[in-house]
Amino acid sequence: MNTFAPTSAAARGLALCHVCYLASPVDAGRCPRCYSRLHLRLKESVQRTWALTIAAVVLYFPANLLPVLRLESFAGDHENTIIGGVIEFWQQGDYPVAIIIFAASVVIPVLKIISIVALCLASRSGRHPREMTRIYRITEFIGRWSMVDVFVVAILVGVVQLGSTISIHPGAGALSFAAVVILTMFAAMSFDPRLIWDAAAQSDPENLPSPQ
Amino acid sequence: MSELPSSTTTPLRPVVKKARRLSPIWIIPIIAALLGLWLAWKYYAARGPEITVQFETAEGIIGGKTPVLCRSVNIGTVTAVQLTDDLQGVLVTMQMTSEATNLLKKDAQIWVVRPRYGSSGISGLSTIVSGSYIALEPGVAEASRREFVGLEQPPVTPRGVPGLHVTFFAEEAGGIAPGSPIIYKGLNAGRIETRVFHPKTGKVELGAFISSDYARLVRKNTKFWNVSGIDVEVGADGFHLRTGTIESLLVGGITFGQPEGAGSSPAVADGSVFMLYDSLSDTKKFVMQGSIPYLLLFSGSVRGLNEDAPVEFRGVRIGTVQGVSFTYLPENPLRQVPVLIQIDPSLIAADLPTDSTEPAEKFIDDAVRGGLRASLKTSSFLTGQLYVDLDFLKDPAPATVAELEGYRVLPTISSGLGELQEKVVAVLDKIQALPLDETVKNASAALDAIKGTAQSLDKTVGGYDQNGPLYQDLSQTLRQLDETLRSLRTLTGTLERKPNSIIFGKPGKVAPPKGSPP
Repeated sequence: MNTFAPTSAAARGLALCHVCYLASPVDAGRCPRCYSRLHLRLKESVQRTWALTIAAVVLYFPANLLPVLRLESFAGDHENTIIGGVIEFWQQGDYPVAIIIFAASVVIPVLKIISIVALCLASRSGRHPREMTRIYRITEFIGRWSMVDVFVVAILVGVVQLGSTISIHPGAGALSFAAVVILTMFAAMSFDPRLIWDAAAQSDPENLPSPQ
Repeated sequence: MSELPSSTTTPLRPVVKKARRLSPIWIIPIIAALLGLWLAWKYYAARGPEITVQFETAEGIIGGKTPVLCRSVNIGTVTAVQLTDDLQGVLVTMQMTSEATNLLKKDAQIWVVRPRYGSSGISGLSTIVSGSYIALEPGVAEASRREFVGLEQPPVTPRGVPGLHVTFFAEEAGGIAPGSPIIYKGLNAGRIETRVFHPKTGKVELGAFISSDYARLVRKNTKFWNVSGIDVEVGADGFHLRTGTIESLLVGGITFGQPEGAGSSPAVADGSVFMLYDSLSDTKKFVMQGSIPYLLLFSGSVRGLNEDAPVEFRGVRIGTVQGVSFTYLPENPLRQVPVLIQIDPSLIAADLPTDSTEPAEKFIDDAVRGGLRASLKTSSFLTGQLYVDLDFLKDPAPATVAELEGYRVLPTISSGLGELQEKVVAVLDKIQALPLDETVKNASAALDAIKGTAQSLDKTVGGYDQNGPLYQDLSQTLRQLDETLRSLRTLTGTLERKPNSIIFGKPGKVAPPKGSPP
């Protein structure tokens, strides 16, 4: 069973140390330099990615349905969900703010989840390996920017504490949302893009780009 | 580096370990699922029933935002506002929390709290900033429901406060509005809650609440009267000005008390109905419910007898004149003027039962047989005001209570002004009976005799005429007297100049002899 492309390092029994990036024979078991465990590919990569992605999808619903912050003021309590806030900004004519929040809080997490799912599927089918790799790069890069909402809530909660006049408390939605963002980031991290190429080599060995 | 296998040498078979076992990472989605389920369960468990409330207007109510509060505790949120099918109001749908379920009783009161300025003051100021909210006052009934009709005005007194709810009927509201106080001896005893006009009866119905401390002061015979504004009374003992508290002056007020001299009366049940009098004096003027109408037929003039004039028994008020009008009745050929009066039997005999008029009628029948008669009397000679007086005659002509046109007729006697008139007539009759003609004849004869006397007197006086003999004599005598007096004057002149001439006489003349008169 030839699972690796013939030109790949893995095919020659070489593994990159996850910690110090030293290429060494995988047979040794441990990196000769930093003595950490050697694996040809990230351990349980696809399984972990799936698990974290599913957890993110599950938590995506409370993140959007539950209020992210509760504003308590002398004028009464006020709770806002992410979508509610976006709608409010849009109705007030603050289109840029509404678009930013919508993009950072709704579109990006959804796209991230979709692209991670696509990567997981590609690691099995091996189709469009180049595009998939680009998607992987983008996903990893934009991942942290989804935290804008969480940061805003965290800052507001910390800053706006004027006793009985006005105070802001994080809602269950903010917690869920932070969990979604963190889980998708971990999912992207635990995915090993080399698996795409492994799968591509297996399905279509002829059409592989040869290493320079 | 020598240990590194090269690609040119025998390719090494990498050890590919397929991890078949389930990774412990799957705990994370399981935890996430449990967390999500828990959040969902929490959300649905907190959701109570959904209710709809009908209001006249949705002013200040925003779907998805306006909270529902019960004593400032959030128990729900408005989810939707829509017009009713007949476009006469709005249907507000509210999602209540689970703990609100047992507050939604059949008699729960729901109203919108928005800034209001009313007779009870300014309310709902905080909603200027926070926006309107919907307030719910839980009911006490057993049955619950999900569809309500909202109140347009907030209830003045919260439900469940111990006290007494009473209803007043008044001729006019007179400045009394929901929120007006009920004052007892200057203390706030309760509030007016509702004010409704009944077009059919033309009366104003006022719902009121009296707090439990004062509720036991309200008895069956308690009178309520309006103390709004200023009550000015001019009486024999001077000028009285009465005002309530400043509050009642501004927003109207009601006070109450027992009628003077009234005995104890049973306590009243919740929801009792009272009449609201315009003033304290009106409570004495008017007759309570349970009075009996009687018809009086007067043959004399009833000028000066007004509506609301008192009906008194020996000076004690027992009723009121209700109407004076002349209607020709075939049964009344004497053209007597019918006067309708109301007698309150409880003022005559306190122990008479009030639930039926029969014992009271019997009481009056007996009194009439015993000599009770009605008469008109003058209450003020200045204005000629009359009142109806009931009294027992000493030896009356027998009479009973008759029936006329469905009214019970009390026998009357003419008195008062009528009596006075009769007496004047009697006096005039006596004057007429005097023998005036004869007297005048005698008098003329006497005058003739006087005339004769006067004539003879005239003759006597005529003797003293200028040509009369007496006059001549008299004038001669007077002339002589004048001469005498003149010579006497000459004598006195001589004497003045020469006093001795009295002895020696005038010079040139022979002195008269000694001792001779001059």
